[in-house]
Amino acid sequence: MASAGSGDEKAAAAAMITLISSDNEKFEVTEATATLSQTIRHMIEDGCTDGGVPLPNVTSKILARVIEYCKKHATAAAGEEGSSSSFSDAAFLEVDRAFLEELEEFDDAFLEVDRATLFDLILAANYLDIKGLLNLTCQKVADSVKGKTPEQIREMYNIVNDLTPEEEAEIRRETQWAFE
Amino acid sequence: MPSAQALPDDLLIKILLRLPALPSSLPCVNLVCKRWQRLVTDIHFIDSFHAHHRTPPLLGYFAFLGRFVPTQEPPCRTPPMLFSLNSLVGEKGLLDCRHGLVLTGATRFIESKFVITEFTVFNPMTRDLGRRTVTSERQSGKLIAAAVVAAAGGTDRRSFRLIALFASYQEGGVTASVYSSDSGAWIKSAMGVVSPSHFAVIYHPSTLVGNAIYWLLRDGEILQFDLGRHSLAFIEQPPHAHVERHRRFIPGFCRWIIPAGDGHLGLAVLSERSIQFWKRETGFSSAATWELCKTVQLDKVLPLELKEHMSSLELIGFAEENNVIFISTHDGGVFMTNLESMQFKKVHTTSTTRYYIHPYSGF
Repeated sequence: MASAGSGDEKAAAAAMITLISSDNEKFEVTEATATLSQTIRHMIEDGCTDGGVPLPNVTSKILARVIEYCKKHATAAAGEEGSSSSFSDAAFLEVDRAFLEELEEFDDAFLEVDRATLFDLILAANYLDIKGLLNLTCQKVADSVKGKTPEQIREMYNIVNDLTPEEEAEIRRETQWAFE
Repeated sequence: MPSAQALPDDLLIKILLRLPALPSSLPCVNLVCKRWQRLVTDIHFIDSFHAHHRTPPLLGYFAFLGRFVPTQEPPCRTPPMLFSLNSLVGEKGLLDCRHGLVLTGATRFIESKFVITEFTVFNPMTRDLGRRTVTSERQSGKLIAAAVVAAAGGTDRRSFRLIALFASYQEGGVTASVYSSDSGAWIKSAMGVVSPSHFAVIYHPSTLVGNAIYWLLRDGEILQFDLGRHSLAFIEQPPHAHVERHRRFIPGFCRWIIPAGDGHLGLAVLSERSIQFWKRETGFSSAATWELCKTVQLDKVLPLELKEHMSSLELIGFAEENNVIFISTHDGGVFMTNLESMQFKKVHTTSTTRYYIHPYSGF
């Protein structure tokens, strides 16, 4: 972030964090980006980020996507803080609205991934404790299930139906109306 | 091929909680496999689902004799039989509906008068689960109204309070008794009032606003029961809300108590050409006063089909969780509209004049 350490090179340098993926790839990110993850925020607070933060549960492919999300949303968070003092200014509100729309577009495009990647993102968002990303990805899966029949859901998500015919008939009898 | 089974339970729950708040959502995922079935039928999951969505969908309403009229489109259109009160509780009178719970009362003919002997509170979505029959308190008067309120602002539907109002000539007033499902006991809070109209049965369904239940009395006066203080009070109607409706003027069918935002009491008043929205302002220093907030001209919002019935409209019910009011015509069917959007939708072809309905919202 340009504004954060503009007058103090040392502070700017200290605000960079190195993240290390499970396949040993290194990613340099700003502290503002990294601390969208509560897990990393706690590590920074405990002062255990020297020499990089190893993330053994996240592959480089997924980590790159997660960082992409965090960068965008960290800028959004900074923008919100910056504009809070002039909230009454209509021009600022207009800028905020445009920015939120852009953010929404970014999120939509970000979610255009295959299902395997989507699940990996959910697991990574959960492990790294990034609330916004976890909500976003879980909602995407829920939306994909919406309005589908049980058969379609099983097929989409590779789930084996282990209900006995008797159990299935029993559930169907109770809720038949939902399938008509 | 990715499998959703690779996700741990807590993450799968996070996903399933985000399914839309529609009555068909959970039955569908219930059939996917044993694991999903176990997760979505868990009572804690159902509680979280309520908490996550807050406003349950309006499924329909109970009409005369407990007949259920669905208002959703398929696949969420619950079959009338599923909710038929006759099949659920037998021939018992429907008294109130709130927070997904239905309150009915059974009467018996004792010593030459009808007496309420027991109340039943149940959730028709879960059928027998959590059905509670409560023996009525030994009565000192006749039951004039009853209401049910679920705990935790309506999100905990297994725990509820039942409020019963009894009127007695001998004691000279109305008494409120409150039953708590947690303690399993009745608490009586007395209040003396003297006015003939206070002894009449209140057919107008109650409205919960903030932490109080309100009933509209026949003469337009409002009875308030404060759930926190356990106290009864009377509130006069807005002074200028006397609407001229020659021939068909019945206060109970052209007024409805509604929330006016921030826990303020509100009143919708239907006249021949408009609906007025009143709000009761309670200042710290001054006495409470009614203020007219908004007047909606009917010819601007009514669909063509309703315009010809403009002079015969009746307010017959209000879904407080959804802010939806039900309006019946004399012979052109029943309509509903959200009070914000004022988009009317026909929900039944048979009119329900001179009867109140009880809307039902639930998951």
